[in-house]
Amino acid sequence: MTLPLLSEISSFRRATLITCGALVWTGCGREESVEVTQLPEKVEFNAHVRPILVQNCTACHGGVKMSGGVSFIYREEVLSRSDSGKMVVTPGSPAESELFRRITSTNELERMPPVAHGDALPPREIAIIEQWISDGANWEEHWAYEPEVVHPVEVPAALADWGHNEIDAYVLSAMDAHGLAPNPEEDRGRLLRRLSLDLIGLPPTWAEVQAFEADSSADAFAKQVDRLLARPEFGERWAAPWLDLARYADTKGFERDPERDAWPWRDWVIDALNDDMPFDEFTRLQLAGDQTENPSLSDLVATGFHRNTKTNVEGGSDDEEFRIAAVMDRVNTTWQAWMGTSFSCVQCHSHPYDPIPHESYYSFMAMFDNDWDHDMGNEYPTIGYALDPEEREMAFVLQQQITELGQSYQKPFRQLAETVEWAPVDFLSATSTRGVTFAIERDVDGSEILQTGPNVPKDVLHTVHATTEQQTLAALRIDALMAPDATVENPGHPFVVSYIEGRLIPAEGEPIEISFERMIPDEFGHADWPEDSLDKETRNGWSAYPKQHYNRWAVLVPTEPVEIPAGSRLELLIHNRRHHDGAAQPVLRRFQVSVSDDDRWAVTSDDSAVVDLAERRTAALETLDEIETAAQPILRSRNPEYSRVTNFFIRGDWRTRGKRVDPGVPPMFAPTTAEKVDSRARIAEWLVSDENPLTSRFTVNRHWEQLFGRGLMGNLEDFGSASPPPSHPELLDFLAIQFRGEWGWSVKRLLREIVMTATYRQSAVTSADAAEVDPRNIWLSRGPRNRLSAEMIRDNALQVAGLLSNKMYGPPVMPVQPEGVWRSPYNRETWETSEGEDQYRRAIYTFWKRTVPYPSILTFDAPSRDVCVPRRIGTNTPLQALVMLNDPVYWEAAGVMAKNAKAESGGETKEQIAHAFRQAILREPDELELGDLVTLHDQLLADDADAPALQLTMNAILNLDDFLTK
Amino acid sequence: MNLWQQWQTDRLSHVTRRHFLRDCATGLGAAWMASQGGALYGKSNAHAGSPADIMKNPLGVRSPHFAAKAKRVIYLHMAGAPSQLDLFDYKPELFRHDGKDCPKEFLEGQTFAFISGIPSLLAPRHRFSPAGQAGQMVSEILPHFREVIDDVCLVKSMQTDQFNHAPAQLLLHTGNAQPGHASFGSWVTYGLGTENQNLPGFMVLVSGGQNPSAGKAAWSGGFLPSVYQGVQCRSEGDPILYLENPNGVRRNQRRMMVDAIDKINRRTHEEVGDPETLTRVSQYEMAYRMQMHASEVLDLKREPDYIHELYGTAPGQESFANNCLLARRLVEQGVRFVQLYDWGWDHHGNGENTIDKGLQRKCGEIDRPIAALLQDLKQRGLLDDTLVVWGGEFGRTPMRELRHGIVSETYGRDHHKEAFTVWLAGAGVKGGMSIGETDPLGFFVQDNPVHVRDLQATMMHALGFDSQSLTYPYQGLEQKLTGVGDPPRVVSEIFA
Repeated sequence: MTLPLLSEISSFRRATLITCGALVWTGCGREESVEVTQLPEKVEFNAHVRPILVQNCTACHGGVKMSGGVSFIYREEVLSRSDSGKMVVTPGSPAESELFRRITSTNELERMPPVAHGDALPPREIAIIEQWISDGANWEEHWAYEPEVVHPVEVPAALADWGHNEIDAYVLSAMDAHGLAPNPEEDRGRLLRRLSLDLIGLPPTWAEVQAFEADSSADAFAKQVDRLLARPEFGERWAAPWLDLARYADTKGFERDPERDAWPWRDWVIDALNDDMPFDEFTRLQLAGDQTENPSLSDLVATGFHRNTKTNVEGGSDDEEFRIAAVMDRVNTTWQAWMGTSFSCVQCHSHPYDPIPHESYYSFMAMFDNDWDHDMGNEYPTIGYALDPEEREMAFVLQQQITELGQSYQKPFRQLAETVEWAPVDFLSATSTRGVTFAIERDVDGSEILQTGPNVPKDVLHTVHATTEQQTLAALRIDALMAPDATVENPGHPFVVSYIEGRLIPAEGEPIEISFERMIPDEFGHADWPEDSLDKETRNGWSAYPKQHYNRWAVLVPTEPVEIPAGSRLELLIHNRRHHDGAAQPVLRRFQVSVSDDDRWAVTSDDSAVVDLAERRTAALETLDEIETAAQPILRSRNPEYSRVTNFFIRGDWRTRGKRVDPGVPPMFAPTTAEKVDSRARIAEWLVSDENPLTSRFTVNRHWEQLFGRGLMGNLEDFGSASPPPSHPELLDFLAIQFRGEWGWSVKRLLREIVMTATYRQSAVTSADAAEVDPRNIWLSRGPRNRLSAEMIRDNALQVAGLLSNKMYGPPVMPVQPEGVWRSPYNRETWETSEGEDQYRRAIYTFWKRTVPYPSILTFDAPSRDVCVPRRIGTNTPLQALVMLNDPVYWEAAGVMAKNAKAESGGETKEQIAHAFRQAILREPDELELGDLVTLHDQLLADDADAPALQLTMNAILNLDDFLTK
Repeated sequence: MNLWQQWQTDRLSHVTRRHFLRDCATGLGAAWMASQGGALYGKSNAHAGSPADIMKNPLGVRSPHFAAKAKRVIYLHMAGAPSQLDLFDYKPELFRHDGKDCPKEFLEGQTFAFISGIPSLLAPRHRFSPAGQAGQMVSEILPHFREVIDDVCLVKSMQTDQFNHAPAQLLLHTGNAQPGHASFGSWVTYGLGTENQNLPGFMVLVSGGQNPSAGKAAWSGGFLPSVYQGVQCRSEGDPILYLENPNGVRRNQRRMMVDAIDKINRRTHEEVGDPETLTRVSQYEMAYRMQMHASEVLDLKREPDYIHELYGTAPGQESFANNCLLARRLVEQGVRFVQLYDWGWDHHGNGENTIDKGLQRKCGEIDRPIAALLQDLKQRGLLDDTLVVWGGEFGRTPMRELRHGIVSETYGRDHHKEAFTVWLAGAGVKGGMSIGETDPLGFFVQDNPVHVRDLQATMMHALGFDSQSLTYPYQGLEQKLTGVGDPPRVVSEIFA
């Protein structure tokens, strides 16, 4: 077979250019393609071969399907035999490689890709594959899974004095390679406005602009950068993209979509950013702050990150189903927010393009599967976060005490329960209400009560009669056994013992009531306090919920030991009052009862230390009750001895479980040096370890995108092999290495290095030439110019009108919103417009209702915060124009601007407009602009002498492109 | 080519195509994703246009994969899930077993939202009789709808995976039970653009006093650019949020202002050269036109009296009837997808929410407007290319609700994902027939099951799309409405 002469694609980067142009859909059209007449000098797998495989082969020969036993995902698979017994690739020998034979076959039945899927591969691609096999079929992992590498960079001699740091060198080298040259520096006013909006989300004041313009010192710009990085508004601005990743909202999601107290976590993020908490620490605390030694309040609040998952309180929803949905969301979000990897597709099958096997999803999920939360309306577990900062620490200490006192109180009883002799009772009868039937089963272990029949309604009362040979009842023990067909892998129905009463019925005479004083279960940490089972009024109590994973027991201790008259019967009434819509009712279904006559029960129960612990606990609860707190949902691990096990879900369906999996990360990401990844804390360590190739790259890239409007890796959300490679792979690696290394994971340092570049400081003017060669500014030969984010638009308008409040933190606020926007079913919560300065807070504090987000924020491309979103896709729509023109927020701002302009400048309309223009756009208007605005004003007045002409003119300024972009 | 050859060729291309779709569902995505400028919808069809092309004019009119009858959709969603057993899926066998325990075999492995204990079967609570020329059995509580029954095709064998309202609504409208995915209307607008640039392409009308359980996620654009999200029309205040000028600002003043903004922005573009600036100029112009046009289109007072009589409309208040009339006005003006949600169909038997009076009352609210809508569309020739769909998010049980195992004094039915009924009309849908069948007790589908994914694929087909190939790249996957699982089935027998 003869091949045409092919010309060379000289570099990896050039190949990138072609691919990117076609794949990134924002902005404009395709890049022109490069004339191809030669093979590359050296055929490289990632640069040349992999794209051909991904485009043409992996859909059928990859993670989802392995047609004919052939897959192009793993090296071993490619260098092995297919189902037909032929070598897919024999290094060094195209002739002995089925891959090559099939792509060159002239037999239509054999040719790959199949005729039905399209044309044969073009000759150049065939030649590349041939060359690659001949050269030994050298395999490379996808670039993003390889460690970052320092690439030397050559700066074109002619431009050697351009640039301020290494970043510029990388940019310049790529720019030059594409025949572009840098723009001059932006003028000072525009530059400071850009910098200020980028770093703190707010524009500078006119005075700050003037001061900067007048500052002739060499480090004038650096001083501005440092000033802004130190501002408290920095954290408010940079929290927004993290909140998008964290799917933060002030409600639980679904149907009623009721409120949730997640704002302490939001405030934690703002503080962490302002304090420049290193990103590795930021990672550790949010994923596993609860697993640090002696976690502080702040460490616990940090774990709110993964409690931003939705909670479904819709009637008839199964708490286990939505617990699992939340856990899966944590898995997907962790991969997305730290590594830019779409892991969610691995739920149902192996990754279609990348080397992540199906099972890995569940191994990873196993590390999130052992926390206490379970889709409860009260969001258990939570930490009380005092509204008054003065009381915060005290409230926290009280909560710790309550936990410790509860544990200390239960401990001696628990020890006793495991040492005393228990005498099983002999059951005489077991009945219940509402048609529930029981059988008394006897086997070698004694007898037990077992519910029979298909279904159990709520609110049933079991009555059990039994005899015992014991003469004294010092303690009573109930063993709640797993259903016969339940196992830890396939857990059983839940139970909640709402109230339990007991009496002895002698052969003659009145029944003797047993007054139970203590109830001690086997395990500490459940949502309910078990002694609620002794309270007639509550529905709560000792429980296994929403599933029972193990046999469980609890001991009831009477106020004093009860003599059991000979021939008397023991009667137990077990009330099951809690109900559960959408799943099995929480009812005790299988249990044993036994009695202890050991006198140590009374000794322990009357021990002054025990009594004291119980009293102190009650007192602490009462004190805590006096403090107004928000219930911030947090992560807390279940006790290891009662942990859940995680199974593979067949096709991603939680109801069909496959084999059990061990915790871990996908094999190709498994650390070689560190300890096995088997917990949330270890996940955090692994994410920020030197061996993780993705976290640092993804993180520097998303910060870059915030500043430039486009990431070095354009597809922020997918660093996998299906995405086009980065435009500047060397720069991306440089930033990633520096960020985690020399810059010590400091986000402020990262941003400082980027904004200090000449690249960032360029003017945004696009020459006709540059527009032709590089319409989307991939090669960075001009400064960034992007529309403001939804939050910035609002904050900016309020700021220039002087309305913006600088109050930080606290519960979300409700600025003006049209009537009738909130209409959630079964929910009477209403939008109550905040009073005073709370109407004018920064957008980050606006109440975020998941099912109905604040309309104008949504219109400007904010996500609904249902799932992790790394990138807001910018749009430009008439509805945005309507918001800016008519939303009362902007109309009011225009009114205040008009008032200020009159008050602060001379009586001349022209000067008033110029004044407002300077405040809003932060430069002097040119004559034409000013002329147009003054003409507008005069026209309006000429048309109607009573028109709010100046306010409308201010409204026009707030709608200028220069106002809406940075 | 003779007929036999023609048939052979068609069959072959059909088989090949099916093979292609079945074996290579992800291949299309891969093909596009890795291609250097391949067509958005895969290699196999003539529809050209990369996402980059589309985003130059995201709402510009585009042609679908293949020629199709449906040009637009009106989707009438009864939020809460109406009872198919009391409206369309007539099960006389239930009379014989009324009040008897539901057979255990039916209950095994089933979970219900509220039923616990052993529920009893419940006979239809409303009278059925044959309607239309085809004599289909339809409930008598839909007297006007019975008149147009020969225009609709009942699908009695619908199935879903979800039995809670919010997740089931999301699955139906976005293809996924969790929020965050693009809704049907967004997909269609992304695929076809819209015919009237002075109105949003995907509009949502809500009645019944509450939003559907899924909230705005049911008309979210999900991962699609936000230009494709549904725009809600409101019955009070601005018909579209922020459509009206602030108090005291007149239209001619707005004109002057938009002119001034445009003039300055155009100069900014000349100086800076950012193409987004020019786009913004055109968006302001469009906003200005939308202010007038949308207000007119959404003003029901412009309709003549006989139309109000036909629909039973009363302008100025929120009602399903008003929304039906608005839907017609909107599709008439070239809106691509009109989604109605009517809240209040969750007839559990608690309080007023009974299958007796509660269902009858809700039917009274929709019966006349729906018949009117179909007649009105037909009379205007719009029914030929407008697909109308009616249904809930799941069905209701053949058993009487037994909430927490306790029989209530009133009659209700629980959520049921195994079987429900939707109907379709217009755009080449065969009228006067039904497809699919449930078992004699109406518990399970017995014949011709249609999963919600199949319904989605069928609607897409009616619009000229192969649902497997209308994709959008996000997070490394070719996202599609019908998800990444097994390819759905187009229920082609409903089309004439």
